[in-house]
Amino acid sequence: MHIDARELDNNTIIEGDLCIVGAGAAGISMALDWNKSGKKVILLEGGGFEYNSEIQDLYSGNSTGQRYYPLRSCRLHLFGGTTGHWGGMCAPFDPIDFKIRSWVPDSGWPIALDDLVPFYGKAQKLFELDSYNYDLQYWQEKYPGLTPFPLDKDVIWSKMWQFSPPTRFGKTYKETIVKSANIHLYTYANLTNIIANDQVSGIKQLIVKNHNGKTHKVRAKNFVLACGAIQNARMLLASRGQAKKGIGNDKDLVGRYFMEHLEIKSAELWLKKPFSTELYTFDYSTRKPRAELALSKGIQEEAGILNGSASLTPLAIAKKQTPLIDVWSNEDPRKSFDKLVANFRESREKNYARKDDGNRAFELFTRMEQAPNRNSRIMLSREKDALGVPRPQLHWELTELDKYSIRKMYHILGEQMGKASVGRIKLEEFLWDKNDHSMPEQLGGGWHHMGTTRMSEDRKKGVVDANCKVHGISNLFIAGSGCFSTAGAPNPTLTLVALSLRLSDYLKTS
Amino acid sequence: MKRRKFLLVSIFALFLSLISVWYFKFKSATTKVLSYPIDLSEICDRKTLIQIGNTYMKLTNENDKRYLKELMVQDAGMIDNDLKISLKSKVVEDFNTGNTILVDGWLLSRTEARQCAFLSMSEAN
Repeated sequence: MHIDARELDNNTIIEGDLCIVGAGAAGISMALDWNKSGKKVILLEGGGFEYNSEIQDLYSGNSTGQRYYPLRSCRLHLFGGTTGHWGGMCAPFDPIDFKIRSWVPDSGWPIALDDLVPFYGKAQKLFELDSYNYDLQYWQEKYPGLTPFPLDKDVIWSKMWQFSPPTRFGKTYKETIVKSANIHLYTYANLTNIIANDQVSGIKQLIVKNHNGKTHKVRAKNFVLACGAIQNARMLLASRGQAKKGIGNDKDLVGRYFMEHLEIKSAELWLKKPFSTELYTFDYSTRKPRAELALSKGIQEEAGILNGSASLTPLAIAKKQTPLIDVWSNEDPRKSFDKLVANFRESREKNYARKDDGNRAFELFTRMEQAPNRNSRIMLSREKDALGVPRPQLHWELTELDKYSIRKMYHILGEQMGKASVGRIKLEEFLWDKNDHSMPEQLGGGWHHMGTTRMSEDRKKGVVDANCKVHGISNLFIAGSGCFSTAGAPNPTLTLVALSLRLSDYLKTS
Repeated sequence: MKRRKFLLVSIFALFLSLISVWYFKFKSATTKVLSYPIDLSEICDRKTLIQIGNTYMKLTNENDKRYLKELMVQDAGMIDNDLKISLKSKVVEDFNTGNTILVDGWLLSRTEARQCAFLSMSEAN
């Protein structure tokens, strides 16, 4: 059922078994998992079903360090959350992403890929994807034209991606949520404070507000923050009534280890002879699976680099595209989104008239994990939003390992292309000087916010445990990519939903 | 006697001419092979190859044609009498062993980069 919190009497007390804060990919996935469970689930959403500028403004904030997208527009504040403008790219993490890697400081999750596999399968359905199968061979049987470059598989492999339509959770699951008897969706219910007990060992209630001047209290047995990695950290840090440093922050870890994916045009691939690149080319009309060139576990270890992959775009098209960080510059997410779509569309339309490069020249676009970095973080600004909550302040900071890994990845790719006599690779100028550790202004992210409430069994190293429970607090859980200990190479949405479904399962059975 | 001497001198002159023609033809073919990176030529135009060669010389100080030739012939090992095939094999071997260099952003085999340098010098001459 749906309740507009603006219509409730002021100071209403809302009570239930489970309270999920945030109706985006993580929150809606969890709520759906509890549908018809017989338990009263309170699903809180700060916005409504449609975009509202006043609500979106609650996401405004500043950033320092490496240039970043406007915080106001890089997420969506309405029912369905950021699935309202996501691209639909899905791939699971690799086994190595969960392991402790001696060359990657602070790496290692307390869970393994196998712990997520059953939930990846469930997540696939929510995103309207094919079965949970990312083996090249499986897809080659369906699409015989998918041929990989003849490279050494011990070094470079083809990492498969599937594409969601993309599922807009706000549209696709609205009816199910609204018609559910046990899911109580409250719109215009913005979390403004988390109230813990005096020992800060449990959460007593949440305070929610809206622009109509209404304040309500929410009480439940268990609380799940599912507002995204920036907002979750912000709310924990801003809730200082009982804990001076903020909830769950006695070890000064909340907000730290903010991670993004390093996304940037990095090189050109020139083939000696035309080669069918159907496997690597994104087909907008069918959204059929494609692959990226990825680094094997062995070569990552040998070279001491991060996990990453490279996608191919015909060079004639890529040269017409503006870097994402320059495109997505408007504070209004709708305008930034329109510019992004126009950027892709125009580059393709302009290219239809050009045939000169054929299929011999490609841009290689990096998608790489960012190394965990304690100094890359979300903090609170002195400025407050319209509901009195301090605004977020992002300091995005990268390390030498990040730049080194990108450069090394293309050296490896170049050597492999040469070895196989497939072609040659030309690196972008920012990668030429091995002593230059800075990242160019054109570096973008994938609008992927991760790590701010990282997972570790050791409370000195992580905010949440392996079950996404905040250390030291019995009934507070975090859902989403904020719990990621490392960022992995793929986009996080599929994994964050799988992790949320695992949390959901834990809450049901514990 | 005079006739006999004339014939001998003529035969010797002819022999010398043939040797010279053979030598210059061979030298010319060798120069061509040394200044022609086979795979890279399928990707880059001549102007780009020359530019790569110029940058390589600045990066390495390998800017003496005879020295470059020695390096390439010696590195190619002449395992095969065909220098062209030896150099092609050497290029692949370079990528296998990591004997590569970044020139103007191109990740190249050391051998093909030298071939570009040889081409640049040949053009300059």
